[in-house]
Amino acid sequence: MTPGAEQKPFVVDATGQSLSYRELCARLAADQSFRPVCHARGAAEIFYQVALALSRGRRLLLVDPELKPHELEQLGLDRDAPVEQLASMPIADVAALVEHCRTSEGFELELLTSGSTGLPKRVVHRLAGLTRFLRTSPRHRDDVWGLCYNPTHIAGVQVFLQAFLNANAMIDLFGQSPATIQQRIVGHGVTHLSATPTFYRLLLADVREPLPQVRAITLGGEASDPALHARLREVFPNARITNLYASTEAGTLFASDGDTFFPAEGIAKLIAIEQGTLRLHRSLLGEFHGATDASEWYDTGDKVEIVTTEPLRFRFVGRDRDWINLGGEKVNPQEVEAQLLQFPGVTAARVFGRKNSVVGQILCAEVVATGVREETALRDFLAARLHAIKVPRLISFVSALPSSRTGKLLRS
Amino acid sequence: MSDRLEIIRAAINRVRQHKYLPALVAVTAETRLREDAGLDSMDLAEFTVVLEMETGVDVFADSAVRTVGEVQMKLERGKCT
Repeated sequence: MTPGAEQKPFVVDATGQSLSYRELCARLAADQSFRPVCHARGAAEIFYQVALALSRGRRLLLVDPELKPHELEQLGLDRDAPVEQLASMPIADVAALVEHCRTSEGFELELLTSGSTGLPKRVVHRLAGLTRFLRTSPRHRDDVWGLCYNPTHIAGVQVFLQAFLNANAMIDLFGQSPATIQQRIVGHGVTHLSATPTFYRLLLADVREPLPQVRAITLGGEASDPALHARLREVFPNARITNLYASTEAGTLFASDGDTFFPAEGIAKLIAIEQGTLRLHRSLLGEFHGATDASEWYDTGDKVEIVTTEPLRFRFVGRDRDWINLGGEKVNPQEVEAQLLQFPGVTAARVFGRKNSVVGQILCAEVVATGVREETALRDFLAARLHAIKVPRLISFVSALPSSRTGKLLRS
Repeated sequence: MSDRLEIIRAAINRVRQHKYLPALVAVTAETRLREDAGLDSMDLAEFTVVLEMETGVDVFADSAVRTVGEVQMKLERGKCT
């Protein structure tokens, strides 16, 4: 580790403040209490807790601070978990901290995701499952990472691990305006970005001039497109561009530099493509709490087209499921419909995504209701019970809902 | 011209109402959608869809719009999706 590694900032928050890596070591070494359930806000505090869990080999559950009490109740997270006592732990320097964390046994990270039935579920990962594409080397010593994902979601955690295990500075860009993001990329010397296609589209719509110091860009969370890649090459002329495929259940599995994906090293035999659908061997998945599905192969619902078999390369061509992808966040329409049906007077509801030029899809609802014509009360009802992103942006009252010949609700 | 301004103002206020923000009493061509009208990316998406439903024009179709004035120009040009 070079001199100066100790002074490097850990996570620079929206106000421009940060612990240095040296201060991080001191705080981690002296910390004597560990909260196994993290409700913190902001990447700086959330990733401090992940670093603490790594350094002490503990299991940590990350909870999105935007979840509502009703949702927390469904997950059994409405009661405070007891705080665990820690002994202080000597940390010689940043190099020692990172080396120790890189091989942390006992470390487990628990994440939350929408289940296929609409009920949220908890998934537990060990470090190996979270670091398939992670590279640590002196080559990465001076990388500066822009944090563009929700820090409590799988993609955010993966970026954190790549940066932290190389003792890189991280600049929090999540939830900020395109103008601010641009300023911060330049001002803090960001060299690496990982974000959703929606994030990049919004940034590109506002960008005034090229950003030549960015060396690597990854995209994930949603389908990308060649037009976006072409625009990215204009604005980031020195960046290598990679698509990644990751899920909360399995971590990052595949990478591509175009639209053809290949599996991470060693996992090709754990992928099956049957009838054009991608399946994963259960050993690739984190543990699910209360998993009732004991089958060996997990159906991802993603439709793929094989390009070559040896080595395995394929393309994603669509999704089987009804879920709506809102800029990387996946919403299960059935979960929202179930809540709408709880509102007095509502007899039927259809929740769907509507394409638009700004963010890919926005969430809409059509509702059949007697005696309800006022959106506000309905919207307030949902906002109190659901994460903000699950509250439909446009609600219209209709006299009937379309259904298919078999009587199933049509969503597209 | 002022009819379009009214349509745009109403669309902004519809989105603001959903965020429990008070309605804007007036907008001008210089009003910036993000900084002055308080719209973030998701709000802009909703705003765009609402305007498209009313006028048939997707104001974000080929390029971003930053101010009410730019929205007006797109509506006048009447680009349909």
